[in-house]
Amino acid sequence: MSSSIRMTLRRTRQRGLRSALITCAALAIAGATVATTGVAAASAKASSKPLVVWYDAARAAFVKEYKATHPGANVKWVLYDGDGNGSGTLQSKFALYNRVGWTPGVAPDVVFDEENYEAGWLGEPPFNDLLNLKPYIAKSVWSKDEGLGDCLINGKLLCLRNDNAANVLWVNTTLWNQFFPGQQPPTTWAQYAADGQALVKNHPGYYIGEFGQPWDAETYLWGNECPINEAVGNRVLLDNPNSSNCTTIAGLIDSALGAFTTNGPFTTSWVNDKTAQHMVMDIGAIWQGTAIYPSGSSSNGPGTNVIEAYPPPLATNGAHVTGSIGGGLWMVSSHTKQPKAAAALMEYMDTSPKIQESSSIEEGLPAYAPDQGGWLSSLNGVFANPSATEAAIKQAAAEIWPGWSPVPWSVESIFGNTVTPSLISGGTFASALTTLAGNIKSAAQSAGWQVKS
Amino acid sequence: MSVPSVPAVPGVRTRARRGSRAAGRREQPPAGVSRTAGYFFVALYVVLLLALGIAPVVYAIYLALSSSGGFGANFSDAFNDYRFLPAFEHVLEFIALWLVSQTILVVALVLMLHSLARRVGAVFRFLFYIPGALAGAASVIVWLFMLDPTASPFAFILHWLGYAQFDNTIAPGNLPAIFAIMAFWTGAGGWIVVMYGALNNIPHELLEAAEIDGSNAFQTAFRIKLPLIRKWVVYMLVLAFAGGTQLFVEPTVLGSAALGVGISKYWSPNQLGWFLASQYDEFNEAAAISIVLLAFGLIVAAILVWRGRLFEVE
Repeated sequence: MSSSIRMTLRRTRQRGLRSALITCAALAIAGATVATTGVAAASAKASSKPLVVWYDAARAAFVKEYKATHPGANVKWVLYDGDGNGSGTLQSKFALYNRVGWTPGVAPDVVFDEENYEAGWLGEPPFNDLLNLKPYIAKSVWSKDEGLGDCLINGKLLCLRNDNAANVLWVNTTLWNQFFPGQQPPTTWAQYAADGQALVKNHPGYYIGEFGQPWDAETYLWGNECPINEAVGNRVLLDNPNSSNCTTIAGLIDSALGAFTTNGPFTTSWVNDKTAQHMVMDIGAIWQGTAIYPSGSSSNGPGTNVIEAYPPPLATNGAHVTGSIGGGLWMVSSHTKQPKAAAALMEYMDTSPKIQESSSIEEGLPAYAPDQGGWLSSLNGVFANPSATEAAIKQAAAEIWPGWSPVPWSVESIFGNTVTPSLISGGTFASALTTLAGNIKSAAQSAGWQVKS
Repeated sequence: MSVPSVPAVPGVRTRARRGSRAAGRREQPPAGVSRTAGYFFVALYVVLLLALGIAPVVYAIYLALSSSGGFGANFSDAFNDYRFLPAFEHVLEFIALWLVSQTILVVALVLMLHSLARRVGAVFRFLFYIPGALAGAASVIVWLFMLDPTASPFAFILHWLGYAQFDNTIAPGNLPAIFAIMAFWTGAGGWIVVMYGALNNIPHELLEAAEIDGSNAFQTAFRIKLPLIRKWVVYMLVLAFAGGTQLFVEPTVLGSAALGVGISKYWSPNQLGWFLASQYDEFNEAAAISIVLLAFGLIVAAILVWRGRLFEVE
């Protein structure tokens, strides 16, 4: 090969290399993700468009019942993840609709949301995407919904509560009678912690609850009136981890830390370790009774027939209060062109005895009080000591502390990212409390809230 | 965005052969046909680049600079966001671990492979490449099982390290290393193939001459081969850095699998941008973070190109 040809080849190769490098580098760097626009504008008359309803998998039975009783209804049903575990689906979709327009027949008119705090997120600035339902639903109806603190925000009614997810004390009666013969399950947090200490000492490997899951703030802090997530005015938050309501409960939990499993009820560890069969008791939502204790299910539990509900422990300040985990919301978009039809549909879903009184359709206690009796009696035979269980559920349902507010940030998420890693690395709840409150403060300020302590 | 996938193997070896044949025969295609075909292929790329590369960047710049709070308000909001610095710290820690380990291991492996007998080398090259064939999210799913002490085939290692549960494995301090391992596992094989192609481009006469001069395998690898593939190493660093700062898929999928325990939704800057846009309707601040990432990638690329003399014609 002559030197001139070699030179030419080398130059060609260099140019090829150079253009390949520039091309690839440009592609990689320019890949920064930015969502672009779409087209809004609906020219057709809104009334001819179907009502668009977004529902989650657990509400599929609701939809089936609605279709059976409303043949010919012009509804487009869209199954989505329900925003479960704070997935953020609704926020991201609403943010995009706010940019491209809420096209009737495409954008949702009615939405079911699994997260109980999100009306305060989606109905407030910068979203403002929820309809005030007061003009469309009679007060005689909505006032019978329990747990409306998550929906009545700044004087507006932004949602209806689907189910009341108050926390009760679930007790495995077989294990309890075996380990604590002749003793009554605890009625105070101090007794609860003392039973935990006894369990660690005498029956290691058995638990009085789980600790470390994102929703545990709603179990232990909400359930003891700990004011770290309390809206005390329009966009004003009270966040005081030094309140004795917070420090006392954290200290009690720490005193019995070995009696809590760190397995979450929806993890493989829970199933593999048969954790549900090792729970002597657990403070959890009403819906958890049928969700995590059945035998032979994916939860590998002891069977609901040995599980009984007791009233939640008294707060350390003596108040009869409890927390709440989940409990879904029905909401209507403020951009809907059919507000009356949308409100009528959600009212039917939320109050119809055909749906809400059947425990095979509605998994949790209906928030709509007139349907609760029917739902509770449909539970007969599911749990041990049905009448005491029903009474405990009813009592807890009326005791949800209203000082834990619906806010535009996820306390669950903050708890999961601060308290849980701290516990895993050997820390205590009490020591993680300040970090938790600090991160809530940062999230609140970042969302434009004023924070008091 | 996932860590960068590797571009097609540069068929340097094939090209060299074809080049010598063409040079021997002196055959040239008609200039007009060649030019038209060239424009056609470039046009396809340019259209996609404009639509999916340049236009979003221009739109992001527009969003980042438009604000009711005055020029630069979105950038100052982003810099003052309490999640901004931790996100960059996380990603820089990840990049430091990943780039160093990937560079050392890829170069070492490819030099070893190249000195092996051709058939054995080809088998190993293929084996290294297999994980890279998995798309970003799919490879993370594989790792979800690998990292879970209750499900992993390598649970004994995790137990030996003191991890009894998935939450233990993905403790915050472990995350940069976990993402670096994932990125290495999916990306290194592709780069080994690329570097192997580059090594094959080294004239055989040169290696023979070195051998005749008494160079052993080690000396040949580090004094002859390595300097000749230096530009490809720099090229890998440019792409890996840009892709690494844009880390998104791995922490997102791992975070959702952990059910909200341990990993925040704004672990990396790209996630923070997404979080602000999709959860708080803050598209302008999110765009500002995207621009910061873009600038970051470009500056480091420029330094590497300049220091590595990437585009220099010898």
